[in-house]
Parts: sequence; structure tokens; C-alpha cells
Amino acid sequence: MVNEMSNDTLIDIKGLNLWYGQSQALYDVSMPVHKNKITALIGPSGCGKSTLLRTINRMNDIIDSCRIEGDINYNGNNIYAPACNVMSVRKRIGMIFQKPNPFPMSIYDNITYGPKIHGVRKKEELDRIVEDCLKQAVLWEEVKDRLEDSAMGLSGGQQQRLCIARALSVSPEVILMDEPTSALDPIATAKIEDLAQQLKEKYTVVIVTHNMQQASRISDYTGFMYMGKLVEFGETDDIFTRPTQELTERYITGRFG
Amino acid sequence: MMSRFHQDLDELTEDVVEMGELVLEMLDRSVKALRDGDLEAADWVIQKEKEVLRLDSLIEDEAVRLMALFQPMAKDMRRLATILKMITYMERVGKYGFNIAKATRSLEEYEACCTMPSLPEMADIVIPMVRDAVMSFKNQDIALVADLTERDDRLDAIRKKVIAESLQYMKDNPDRIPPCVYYITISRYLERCGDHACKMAEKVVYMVSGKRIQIK
Ligand SMILES: Nc1ncnc2c1ncn2[C@@H]1O[C@H](COP(=O)(O)OP(=O)(O)OP(=O)(O)O)[C@@H](O)[C@H]1O
Ligand SMILES: [Mg+2]
Repeated sequence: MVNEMSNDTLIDIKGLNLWYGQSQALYDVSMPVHKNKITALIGPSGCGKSTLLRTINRMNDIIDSCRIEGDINYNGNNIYAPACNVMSVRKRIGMIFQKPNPFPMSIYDNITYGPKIHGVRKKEELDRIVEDCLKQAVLWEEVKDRLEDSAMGLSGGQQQRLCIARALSVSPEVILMDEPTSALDPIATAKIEDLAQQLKEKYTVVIVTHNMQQASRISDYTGFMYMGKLVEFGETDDIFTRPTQELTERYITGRFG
Repeated sequence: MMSRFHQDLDELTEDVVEMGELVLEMLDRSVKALRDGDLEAADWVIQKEKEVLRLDSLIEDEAVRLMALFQPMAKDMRRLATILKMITYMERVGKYGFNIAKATRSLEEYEACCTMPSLPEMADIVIPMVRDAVMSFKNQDIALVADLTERDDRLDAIRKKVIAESLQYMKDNPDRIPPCVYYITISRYLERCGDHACKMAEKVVYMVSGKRIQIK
């Protein structure tokens, strides 16, 4: 499954430590994120998956008590260097959350929101982005005749795909997904999983999931976290068929705690 | 507390061991039947074939059920994959026992209880091979099968001896050709049982360590 040739590292997390106030949430995490691959993060609740995911596009910056040490090199530049432009990092690295969170506006406006902020004005250009992103998110056929309807009227699964389309609208390079299917039914989940597979041709995906079958189905690489530490990282096939760490083995076979 | 899945998996493991013990008993009794011309023992083996087939299907169904329901990972998945292979090899061993028992019945006709001590000699090597493969599965202990290659080589050497002895015997006694053909065939069955023991051991090594090895 994993192709040796395309093993290039797009994001390199190095010696990352993170504190919320006095309490440390990440301990010396180092891990690569390979370009055009899906990387899954798994581990028990509270182990730091969302925290780690948020460090990749500096979403923790908005938490006052949060303090970070270590480097995240993205395309060779440390995104935690003082000179780094946070806005441009977030434009290049989009995020999808557990609960679909469309803006309370039309389907069309949800998708054009980002491009407009980034200065796209022409109607034809915006139309093209809307169609293109909805198609990539496999939502176009379902909504093309009601683009002016409120996004809030879509089903949960449709809303989540809309959020993916919205993330794609600013042409990111990386998409971070935090438990994107945990609020969806099996059919909507399967659609998002298929979509993630298609997305990796153009994008690099990092996904947090509590569903181990999902991680093993869709990802190329998997990291197992426990109590703020990255216990094991490797090719997904290896992690799920013959992990090297006893802790990983116990977690994925359900012999935990 | 053990999860429902792990309880079921352990029970399934016990069924596999039970099937292993059954086919071992069949192989053992078939060779004794052959050696002693004991038709009662041969019949016991012959009527056990159904039980092997029953266990084979039962274990396969249960393994598939557990995979579908629980989507096991890592060593649990390796164990289930190993079980599906093990039962195929064990079913073959049972079948060879069955074939030897049938041959024993046919040999009756020639009033030739086994005049070929090399066959029980082969059995003395191959039965422990199969037993150790089954036990290594049961105990997840691959030390038991560490010297299987060597034992299999000895088995093959005796098989060559059986063929040579049989050929000589047939030359000297052309009227004894039919029983000798049975002897050669039986030596083939026993040799195959050795191959299956090696295959089982390879799978057990995979189950225990995740590593793929080749014993022969
Ligand atoms: N904003 C915050 N302020 C203070 N502590 C936080 C904050 N966010 C997370 N934490 C703490 O950091 C640790 C890691 O939390 P995180 O949300 O990253 O875990 P997680 O692996 O995503 O868990 P889950 O699977 O439940 O989503 C936890 O102990 C959590 O309480
Ligand atoms: Mg989380």
C-alpha cells in the first residue's frame, strides 16, 4: 500500500512538548507527516490526539494557557518560528471538526466565505470554486439545485461534507480531521471515508479517530498515543497486524485498562 | 475482566486443540492398526472422519463469525488467520490417518500385516512432529518446533528407505507387489503429515511473533 517513492515528509514534528498551564499534555512528540498520504492518530480519550492535531495548524494559539516547545517544520519552515505568518499556515492547513459546523448562511456562502476573505471577488471565479469544491467533497449532485438554501437544513453527513468543501475552498495543502465521522451514520461515514481516500491524491490528510477499523481502512500511517506520548508510529498495516509495542498491542486488541 | 470476544477466542482455541488431538489419535491408531493388523482400530479411525469434518466446519464458521462481528486486530487477527490455516492442515492429517486405516483393511486381503518396520519408524517421528505443532499453537510456545526441519529431514530419509526396501522386496517376490504398493503409498501419507506439521509451525510462528518464516 505504501509506496517507497512518495515517502517524502511534508510536515516534520520534532521534540514537541505542550503545556496547558501547569499540566503537560504532550511529551517529546516526534513524527513525520507524509505528503499525499493519510496519517491516523489513535489512542484513548484524553491522550492528546486533538492537542497534537491542533498544533499542526497552530490552533492552540487561541488557548491562552497553552505553551509549546519544539519544532514543526512544514515544507522546511518552522511554523513556530516568530517570523511565521499564522494566517497563511491556517490557509494551507485546513481543519475539519468532530461536529459539522457550517456557518448559518447559504450553502454557496459557506464555500465562498474563505476565498472572499482571501480576495477573490469575481462571480464566475466564485461559482467555479463552489462547484469544484462541492464536487471534490462528493456533495455537488445532492445540492446543486439548492445552493442558496441554508446550510443548516442539510443532514449531518451532508453538513460534514460541506465543511470539507469549505476547507478545500482556499486551496489548502493539508487537511486535519478531528473525529470527522463520530456524529455520522454508517452510510455517511462510508462516504467520508471514500472521500478521504480520494482527497489524498491532491491533499495530505491527518485524521484523529476513535474507530480503529476506520484508521486501518483508510490510513497509510498510524500513530498510537498514550498519556501525551507517541508510543508507536509506523505504516498502518504494521501497526494493526504486528505492532512492536506491547501497549499498542493491548490498546488495539481491546485488552486495555 | 476478559471481554466477550476474548472469551470466545479462547474457546475457539480450545476447539482447535481438540481437533488437533483427534487427528493425532487417528494417525496414531491407524499406524498401530497397520502394524498389528488390528481391524477394530482401523474401523475406529475410519468412523472418526465425520467428526473431523464437523469440527473443521464448526471452527471455520466460528472464526468467520468472530472476524465479522469483532473485526479483531493485531495478534487476535493473527490467531484467527492461523486457526483457519491450522484446521486445513489438521483436516489433511486426519484424512491421512483415515487413508492408512483404509489401506490396513485392504492389506488384510493379502494377509500381510506390516512386514515393513520402517513405517512405524516414520510414525514415531511424524506423530510427535504434529503433536508439537499443535502444542506450540496451544501454548503459543515456538520452542517446541525449533528443530522441525531436522526432524522432517530424518522423516524423508526413512521414506527413501521404505521405497528402496519395497522395490527390492517386489523384485524378489513379484506376488507381493500389491502390498508393497500400499507401503509406498502409506510412506507418502506419513511424509505429507510431516510437511503439514512444518506448515502449522510456520503459521504458529507468525501468530506468536508476526514474523513469516519458512521451515522447509
Ligand atoms: N483547552 C484546554 N485547556 C486545558 N487542558 C486541555 C485543553 N484541551 C485539552 N486539555 C487537556 O489535554 C489533555 C489532552 O486532551 P485532548 O483533547 O488532546 O485529548 P484527545 O486525545 O483528543 O481526547 P478525546 O479522544 O477525548 O478527544 C487532556 O488531559 C485534556 O484535559
Ligand atoms: Mg479529541
